[in-house]
Amino acid sequence: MFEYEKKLQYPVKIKRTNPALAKFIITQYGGPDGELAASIRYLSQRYAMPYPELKGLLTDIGVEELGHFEMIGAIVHQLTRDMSIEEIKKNGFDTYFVDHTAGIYPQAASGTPWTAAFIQSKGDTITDLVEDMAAEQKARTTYDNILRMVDDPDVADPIKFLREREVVHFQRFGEALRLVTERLDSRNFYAINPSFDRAPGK
Amino acid sequence: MKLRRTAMPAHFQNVVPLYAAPYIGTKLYGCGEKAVDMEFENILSQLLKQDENRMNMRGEEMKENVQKEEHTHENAQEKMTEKMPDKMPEKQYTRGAEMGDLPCEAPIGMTYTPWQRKGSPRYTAGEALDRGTLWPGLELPWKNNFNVRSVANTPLGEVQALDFALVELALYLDTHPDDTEALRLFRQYVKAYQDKKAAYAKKYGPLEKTQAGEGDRWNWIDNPWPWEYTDRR
Repeated sequence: MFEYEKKLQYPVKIKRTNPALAKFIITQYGGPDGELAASIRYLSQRYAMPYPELKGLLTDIGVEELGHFEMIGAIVHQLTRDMSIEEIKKNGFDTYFVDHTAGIYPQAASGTPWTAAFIQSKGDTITDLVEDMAAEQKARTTYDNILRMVDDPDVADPIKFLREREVVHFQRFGEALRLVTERLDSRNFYAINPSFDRAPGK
Repeated sequence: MKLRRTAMPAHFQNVVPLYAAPYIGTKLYGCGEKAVDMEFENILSQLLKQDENRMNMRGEEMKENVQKEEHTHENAQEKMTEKMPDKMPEKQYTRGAEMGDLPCEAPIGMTYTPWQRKGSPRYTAGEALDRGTLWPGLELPWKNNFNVRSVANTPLGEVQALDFALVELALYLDTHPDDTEALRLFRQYVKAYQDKKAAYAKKYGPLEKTQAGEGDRWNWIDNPWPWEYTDRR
């Protein structure tokens, strides 16, 4: 089960309303390489994981990503609080506003709503872990691109924190992949799929 | 003799002859946190020298030397299986690549990630929250632009810092479950976190539901909620 802790992982305290930033940062809320996709990906993939380290890691990172999902929600919320109609129109936030007002909706920067088509859960240990490593890099690149366009330190600091988390998660997934391959035949890693062809724990 | 090249980490690329592959594919593969990569580098440079000589030789002379080399390979193989200490020699306290380790192995047809070694340098919990990681070796900021503002110096920031250290240690322990030093550290942080969280809840309100419900009012619902802007806390 999951239980809520009434705090963010890293503080979000944005003084200045700025819907222009919210317009693209929302992509880490509900976009293809966003935090929701990350969380749902890992929390769904973990059922097919054959080894205890991997069940632990996918659970723990999946839960942390939910915390990041909340941080991005907080950033977008604080960037759009007390907006005037002039600010909305001037910053091109009108297309979001007309559908969602100042509500938080999981969508990509392009407006595409969040979809499970963003993720895969393949039931093959190597395949899933390689997807996870790619996902961390895609998110890292997205944060790089966000940082190119953000000059408010109240926004950039939590974004930098989130970006660094992608680097750490990439390392852990890489280590997880080694834990898998060390249990496989090094002459042919692909001879079997350990989540299907072998009973768990063997 | 025709020399073929094989896929290798960047710093070995285009220089490693195929006959080094057995070391990579079998002997070294799975060496875990045993620090054999420095040995590996010595052995590779040895092999490279032989490679060079080989190209300058012809006929009988070359055959003889190939036999000699095979001997050297055996010795080298034995040398590589020797255990080396888990802890690396102390380096200057810095971050990123300077704190990282070069690969000790790179299996063919599989992505390669070096293990984080036991006893890697650590930030304090407060620094870790600012930087986004407990491990300076994993801190790789975009354009080397890292957070300079401290966020761990508020009452809630202190709780967040300790919780974050636990998150980082838990992820590390997921892939290093037998690191007793990290386990000890984890338990220390758990204790500190629980104390700090209890003190915080008493003063500012509950962080989890089990801390709510004191007095005659359901204070779990009290503002501010975590996403709300506030200068306080």
